[in-house]
Amino acid sequence: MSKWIGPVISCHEISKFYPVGDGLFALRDVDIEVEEGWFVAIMGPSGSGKSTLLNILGGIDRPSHGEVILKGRKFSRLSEDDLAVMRRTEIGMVFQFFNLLPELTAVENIGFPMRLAGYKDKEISERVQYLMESVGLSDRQNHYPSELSGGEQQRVAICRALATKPSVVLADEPTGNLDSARSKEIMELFARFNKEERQTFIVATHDPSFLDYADLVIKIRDGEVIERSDKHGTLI
Amino acid sequence: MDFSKLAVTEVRRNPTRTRIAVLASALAAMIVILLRIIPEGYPVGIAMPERTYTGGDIVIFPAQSPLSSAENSALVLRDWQGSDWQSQILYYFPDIVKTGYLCKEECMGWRAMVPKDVMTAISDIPNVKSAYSYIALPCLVNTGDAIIPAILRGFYEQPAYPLEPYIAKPGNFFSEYSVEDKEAIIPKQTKGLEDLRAGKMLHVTIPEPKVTEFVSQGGKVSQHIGTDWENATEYSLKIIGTYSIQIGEEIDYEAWSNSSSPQPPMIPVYWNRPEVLVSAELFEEIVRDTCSDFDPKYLESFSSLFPTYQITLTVDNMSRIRETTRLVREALGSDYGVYAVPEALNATSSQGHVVMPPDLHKLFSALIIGFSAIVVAGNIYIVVVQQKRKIGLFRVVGATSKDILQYVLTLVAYVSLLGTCIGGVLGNLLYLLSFLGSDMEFKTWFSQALSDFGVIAGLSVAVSLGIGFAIAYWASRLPCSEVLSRE
Repeated sequence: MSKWIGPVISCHEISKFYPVGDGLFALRDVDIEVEEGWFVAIMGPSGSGKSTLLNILGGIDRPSHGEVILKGRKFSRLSEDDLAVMRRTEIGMVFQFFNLLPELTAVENIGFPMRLAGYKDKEISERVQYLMESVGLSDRQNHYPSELSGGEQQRVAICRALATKPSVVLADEPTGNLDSARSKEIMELFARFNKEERQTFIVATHDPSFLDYADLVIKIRDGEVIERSDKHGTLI
Repeated sequence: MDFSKLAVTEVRRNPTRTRIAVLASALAAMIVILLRIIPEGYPVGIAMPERTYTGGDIVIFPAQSPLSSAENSALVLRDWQGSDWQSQILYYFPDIVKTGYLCKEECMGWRAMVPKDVMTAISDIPNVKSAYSYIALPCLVNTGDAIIPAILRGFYEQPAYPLEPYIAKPGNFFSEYSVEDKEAIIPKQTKGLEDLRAGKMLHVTIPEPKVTEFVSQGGKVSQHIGTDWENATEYSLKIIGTYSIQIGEEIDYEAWSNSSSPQPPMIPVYWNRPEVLVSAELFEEIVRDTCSDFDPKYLESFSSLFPTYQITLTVDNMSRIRETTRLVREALGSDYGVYAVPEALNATSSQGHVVMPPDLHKLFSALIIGFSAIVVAGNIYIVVVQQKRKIGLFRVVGATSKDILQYVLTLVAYVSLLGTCIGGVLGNLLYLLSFLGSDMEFKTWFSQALSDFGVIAGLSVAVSLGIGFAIAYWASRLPCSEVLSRE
């Protein structure tokens, strides 16, 4: 398999305009380039456009203007179904409210994207087993989401996002619904997988603790990038 | 990934919602089945004198088929070349002698029908109970004072429509010795026959009937029954009673003009057709006696092979007679005129004294089916809308439109099929209650219930899948970002 050289994901002059009232720009001319294996933190207050940016990067929302490119593939040229198929293997998503399928067990939830992507049962079983052990949920395999705590549900959601070893993991306020102890666990999990599997993480948050792990910090306000820096605060 | 399996799991793990959705589908299926309870016909007692005298509920003539405004084939106007004794068509359509009748160019026209052919063509139609030929010959009644033209009719006794109420007392209906005693019942209102009473003898002259075959205008071989008065036979029949069929009443203008009352006096109107009734068995014997060179094929089975110009059908359930008449009409085609007796009465202005109930069945059907469709559509919509968030999530983890479609259609089909089964059983059980209070046979009910079930199940699943497909299509295009951002 040939290796992709260059930014794993980038966006150019992304704008998102909602024609409500006098019109509202959720994002305006955002340019980002993220290299493979980076841990990116997108910081900003509520309503600043973080979630919109993540949705556009994940191909589940379309920009009003601009282009997103994932490993050389331009999103604007892909249909909704093409984007969905691409997400199976290239993008994993983690949400604030976990969004697990309530009728599936933890194991089934994690294996779900792998089944969609066409993995064999043995591969699914091995990968799910590995992930559950990694996040300390081996004893919770056959529990339904309603039988798990918030932290456990988020760990299952992270495992699901990582199951197909996607190029990019997008996390939208992953600790927003957890206490500080559970939040730290999640952050450490992200950091571990970032190192071990060289996966790229883009995390939208307003939790400053993430800064310790980030290779790149992007600050957004009112839909515009106001600052780019490394984890030491050095402007880029 | 098997999205069908996932949909079934989803349905099972949400029992409350599933129960409500299934209940709504069941209700929709049930009320569609219960449509059958709404009468599609006429009240039981409507046009009873005519039905009794004609001998059934539906009358079939070999011409004068009802024409539809949707008719698009060439029509021709033909003269009616029949005789009054052949059938009762002149009672129902008295103008046919003057105006003729419109029919399709290829129609066979007025001819004698073979009862067996008609019975074979309509044998599968539900609600048809029995069929009878109108068997008659012209005759001359010698009263001693005068020779009165009349019609000798072989009368089939029908338990559902007894003639007794119309027989003047003292008098009887045919006894078990009707053939040996040559019993006859004569019309009380026929001019010249008024003085004849039960117990007296009736002297009649009957021509020899001759069946002739001819090639009709449609190119098919048909029959006519002719009469040969030169080979007439005289019979002496024993009068056992007289009858009078009152078909309505009218204003007696003469009496009113001499009266000071504001209310007009009414006088009864009788069916004054001069039919001398003998039992069907006696009629058959008379025909066998009088025919010297009759083709034996017509006499092999008199009731099913002897040609006739009128066939009457009785039905199991009068409330379904409109539908039954339509089915008989479709089965026989345009060579036959098929009418429910009340409809035939209503079709002619001179005899239109029957007040026809409005045909609300179609309106009710449309309302009920519309209502059911809305229930099913609403039900499906709610089920799918509740899945919006999940569908958004499916999209995020990589489900395509096809996957979503498969998921939603399985969900919808499961609920609809289960609901239809429950509704079908409940609807048919309720329908059974209406059947217990009707004159329908169990076998008829059961076959109707089965066919209803098949049709409703098919329709319900088809409608659900149709609506489900539209909703699934919509669902598969839901912007998942918007869906997932809500909590």
